[in-house]
Amino acid sequence: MTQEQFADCINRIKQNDKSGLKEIYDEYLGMIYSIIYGVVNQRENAEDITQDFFVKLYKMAPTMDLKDSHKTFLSVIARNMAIDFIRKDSRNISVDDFVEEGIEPVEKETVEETVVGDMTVTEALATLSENERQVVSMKVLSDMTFKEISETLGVPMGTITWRYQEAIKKLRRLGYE
Amino acid sequence: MNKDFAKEYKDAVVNDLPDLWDRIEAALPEDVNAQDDATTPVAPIEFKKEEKPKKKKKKLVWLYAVIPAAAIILVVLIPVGALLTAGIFGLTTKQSSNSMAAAAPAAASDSDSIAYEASEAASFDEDPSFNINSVAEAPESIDSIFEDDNLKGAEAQGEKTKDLIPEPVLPGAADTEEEQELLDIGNGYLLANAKMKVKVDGTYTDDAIGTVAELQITSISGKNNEVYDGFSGFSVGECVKAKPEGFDNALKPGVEYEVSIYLYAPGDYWVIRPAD
Repeated sequence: MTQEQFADCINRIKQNDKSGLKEIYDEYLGMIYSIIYGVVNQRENAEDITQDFFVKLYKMAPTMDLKDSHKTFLSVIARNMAIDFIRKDSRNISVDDFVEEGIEPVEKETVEETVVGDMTVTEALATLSENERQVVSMKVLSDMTFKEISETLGVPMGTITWRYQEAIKKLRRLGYE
Repeated sequence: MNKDFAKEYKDAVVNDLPDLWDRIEAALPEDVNAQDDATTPVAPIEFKKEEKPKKKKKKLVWLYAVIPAAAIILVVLIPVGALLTAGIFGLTTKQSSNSMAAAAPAAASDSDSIAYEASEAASFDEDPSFNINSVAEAPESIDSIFEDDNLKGAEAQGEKTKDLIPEPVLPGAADTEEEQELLDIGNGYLLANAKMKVKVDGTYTDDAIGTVAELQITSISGKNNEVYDGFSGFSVGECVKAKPEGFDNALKPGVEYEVSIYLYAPGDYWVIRPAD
């Protein structure tokens, strides 16, 4: 979608024409959902935030003043909404909070024991620990820097890079690069 | 053959996209241009800071720490000085106590604590039963004298003394009074950032909280305070939902405001107020 097409969609929203939002939805749902899923790493929450994102975009339309790329604008809003959710959510004490920092859960099944050849990306991700998967998702899907991931999760950057390297090592053994 | 993980992962997520349009459409407002007329300005809340005699307490803490320390130093220095004098010059026990008495007045002009030293030394001099052999017991005896003095003082001050006993410092409490004021302005409001600019995206009414504004942070000039564990502060571009308080008029979408942002701890939500 070009900048002009996007501006046209926004103008239609300003006139209460939902088709403008539908076009944006059809074009960018994949991108927005991926970014949000990458941060929250949980399907139900990602769907809720994606819904909130489009509702917010619709409400923002009358006051929207787009100077830069609309794609960047949408990405930043989506990512910030997801990060905001994570930050708020992290205040609720979860079982993960009791796992000592830097100690990763031991995999019951080692990577070597799995059948490498026909493994799908979903199966490959399942070989990662929850913490590793979250860092990989934020990095790959949301295109976040290690510093941003560190700040979002409230975990030292060294731990984040370590988790990422461990995840990449495991994925390499499974034939991914 | 190596597979591209990033590409496959993105494809996998996109191929598994949920259809959210019906949900989104149901949540859209009828008229996107309509202002939220239900938004009424919240009456400004006056926060009266509780007057805490914190500074006074701090001074007392200082006093309670320094006076016994000075007493202990005196208790140790006087006998050690006496021992050294006796050892070096081969003086008799009586002579050594005399030399302390001579040294004490000279030192007395330096400070109150040293004056105390002088008076203690003088009392040794006057006491005919004073014996250098009892020096080892001196710390305990002088300490007990000092304790007695404290007790006498406490009795003289009566109930006042109880008020002056410093309260225990809770872990995680702000280190300085200034910091305390920054973080907690009373009634459960914790100052997260004193000055930032936000652009209002829109407002809506929450059943529990009331009016809630959807904001985007456009600039930050205040200091981020860690109002809860793990909170790393706000960043420019971040979207925040907060309850507006203390504004004369309803917040207008698209308008930029300079605000202070607080965490209202009892309700667990953000609150914005016009920046001072």
